[in-house]
Amino acid sequence: MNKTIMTVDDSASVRQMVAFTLKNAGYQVIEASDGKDALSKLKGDVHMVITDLNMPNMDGIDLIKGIRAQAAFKFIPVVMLTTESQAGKKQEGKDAGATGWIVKPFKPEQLLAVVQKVLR
Amino acid sequence: MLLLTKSWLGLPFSPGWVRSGSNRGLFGNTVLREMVREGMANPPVAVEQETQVALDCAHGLEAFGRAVVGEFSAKEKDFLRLGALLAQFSDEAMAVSRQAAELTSLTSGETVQETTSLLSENLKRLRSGNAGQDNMDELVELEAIASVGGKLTEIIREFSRLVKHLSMLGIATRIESARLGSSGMGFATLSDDVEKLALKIVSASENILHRAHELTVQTKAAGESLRAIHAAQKGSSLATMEQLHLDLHALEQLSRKSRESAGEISGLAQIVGSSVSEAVHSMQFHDIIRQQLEHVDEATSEVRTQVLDLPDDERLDPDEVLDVVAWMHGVLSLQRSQLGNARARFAEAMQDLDESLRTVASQVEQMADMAGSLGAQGANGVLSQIENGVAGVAASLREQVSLGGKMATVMKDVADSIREMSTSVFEIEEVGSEIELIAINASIKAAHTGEEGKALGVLASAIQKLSVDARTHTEQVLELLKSVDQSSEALHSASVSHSSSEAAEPVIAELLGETEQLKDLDTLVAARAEALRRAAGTLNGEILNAVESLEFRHPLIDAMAMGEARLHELVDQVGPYVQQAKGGRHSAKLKEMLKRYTMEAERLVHENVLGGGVASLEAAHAGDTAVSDDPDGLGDNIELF
Repeated sequence: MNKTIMTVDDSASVRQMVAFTLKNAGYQVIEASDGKDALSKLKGDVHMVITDLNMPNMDGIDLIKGIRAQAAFKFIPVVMLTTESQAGKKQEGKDAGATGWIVKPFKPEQLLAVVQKVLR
Repeated sequence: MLLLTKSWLGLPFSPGWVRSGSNRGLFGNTVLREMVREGMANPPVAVEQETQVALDCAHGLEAFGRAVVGEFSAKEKDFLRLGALLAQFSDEAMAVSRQAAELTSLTSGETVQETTSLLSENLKRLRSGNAGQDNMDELVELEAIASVGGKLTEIIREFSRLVKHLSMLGIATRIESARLGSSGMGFATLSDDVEKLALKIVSASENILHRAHELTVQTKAAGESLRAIHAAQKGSSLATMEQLHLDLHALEQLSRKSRESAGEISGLAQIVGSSVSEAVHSMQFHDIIRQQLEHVDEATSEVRTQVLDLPDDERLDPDEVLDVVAWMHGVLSLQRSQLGNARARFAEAMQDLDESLRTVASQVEQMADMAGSLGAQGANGVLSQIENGVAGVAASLREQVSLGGKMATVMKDVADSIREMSTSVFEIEEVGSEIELIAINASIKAAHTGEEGKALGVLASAIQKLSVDARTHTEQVLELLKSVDQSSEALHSASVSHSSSEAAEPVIAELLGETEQLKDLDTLVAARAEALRRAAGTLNGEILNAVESLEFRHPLIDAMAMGEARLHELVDQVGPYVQQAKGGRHSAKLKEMLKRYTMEAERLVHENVLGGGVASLEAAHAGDTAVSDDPDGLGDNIELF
């Protein structure tokens, strides 16, 4: 289980909890503080992205569009992890190419179940 | 009113009228002032009051949101510290769990299984060995030997009498041969020969008597030894078997307890995992509540800006003022509830975090106690008891071997005595035969001598008879010795088997080997238990320190409570001046705010307040998670597209 997952959130404490959950399960983790930072760190060995929605510099929707615009990452799973729960925003994420939507707060076992499911 | 009068009179305005960035009051409207002076218009008192209240409220909101949000955001470093500690605690707790599980596998593992099996085998062996032994037979054999001593003494007395007779006959023969003179010369020799042979019988008899006496002493000593051996065997065998039985039971209990403990430790480890999971859930509320506070800040800042942006001249529309005042009242009421909701959710999350950490600490302590009890040191420790028991068994077996050896030595001496006696008896037998031969020759010679030799003939016959008697007695003695010999042989074989180390030594070696292994296991288990206790103790201390450090949450909660109270004051301040806006416009605007919320919890608070109810925590929580129908079975806050 050496897959690499990127966690994107402007909150350092959320990134810390996501990273702790994933590393405990054996995943490698790359952290980014917003969409712009994430795109700059997106490399060939990233297998999945978990991103917040509302972030400075570049939000989650634009990040997804940026990821999907790159051929190498067109199909990697990108899951939103956000406090946002409006149906409209969810649809917007889905249209942009999101793979799934998790509303905070998450439980570690839930996050890992999602990762296992989408990384199959 | 007084202020209004002053201003109307053109007197300097009081500070209460000063707006930010402007020195002009509402009566900066010169046209209106003229109209009032001419009596053509009334001073617009009500609108000014509402405006003032709104302005006061707006000033009261200055830096309000920033203070609450700022203080909250500044605590991120504390959350990051806690997050790092949580990861550390999780790793250390799992390590304690692993160590505890390893400890239980040691105390239920291969060494213990082997020892149980060995003890069980030896128990069976001892039981069957004890059943085979017929200790009473050995004593009976010994008593048979002891009784021979007495009987021999009787028979040897007969030999004494016989020898006395022979002596008397010898004297009589000498006298008769002297009376006969030259015809009786050969008979004197006969007498001498018989006397010499009689002396041999005396010597041999004395030897037999001496040996018989020795035999009595030896059998007495052997009897004592045998009783001691039997007592020791019985005692040690019974004690050994009981001890082995107890040891076996203790081992089986240890194994069973270890397996149970392993299961329980696994359960405790799962609880630790769940508690860590709950802690991760709680830690996210720093970000969630920060967002909620930012929304409160945004809303209060917006309404403050709206009030401060009201024109301060003739462009001011009274209706607009009323609208703004009502809007301000609505927004502040809502934000008061949002702040209250944020405070309650944050307090609950921190309480949950506190409890989760304490649960981890208590489960870790339980795991360490459970596993540690398996490795209790000292005399009360199960492994120590077993080790002592096994050493006792080995010592008992060695004692039996030693006692058997002593017995074997005694029986060897008995056999030697019997051999010596047999030799003496054969000597007497030979002597008897010689005497008989001499007597027969004498009888023949006496017959040839005629009438004169008649007395000698009688003497010769008497001597012959004595020799026959002697032969009879020797046969009796030989019979006795034969029976004794058989008993002696049986006892010797028994003592050899008691003392035989061939059967005992391998058992002893096995038991001592197992004792060494148990000792090593005991030391290893004790060391691991101690290390486990220390690790658990250290971890518990660290967790409790982290729990204590959660005190930083109280100033945050208090700040939110103060903010709530402040908004409450402002709402009360504005409240009396609220009039329903025309057409319910501000209600519609308030409802529009709903779309700006990101969290379901915020929307629920909003709807509860607009509906007249107090935002409930439960409603907020329901809003937190019920985002989807959980089509993927991953939770109702998750949806996969």
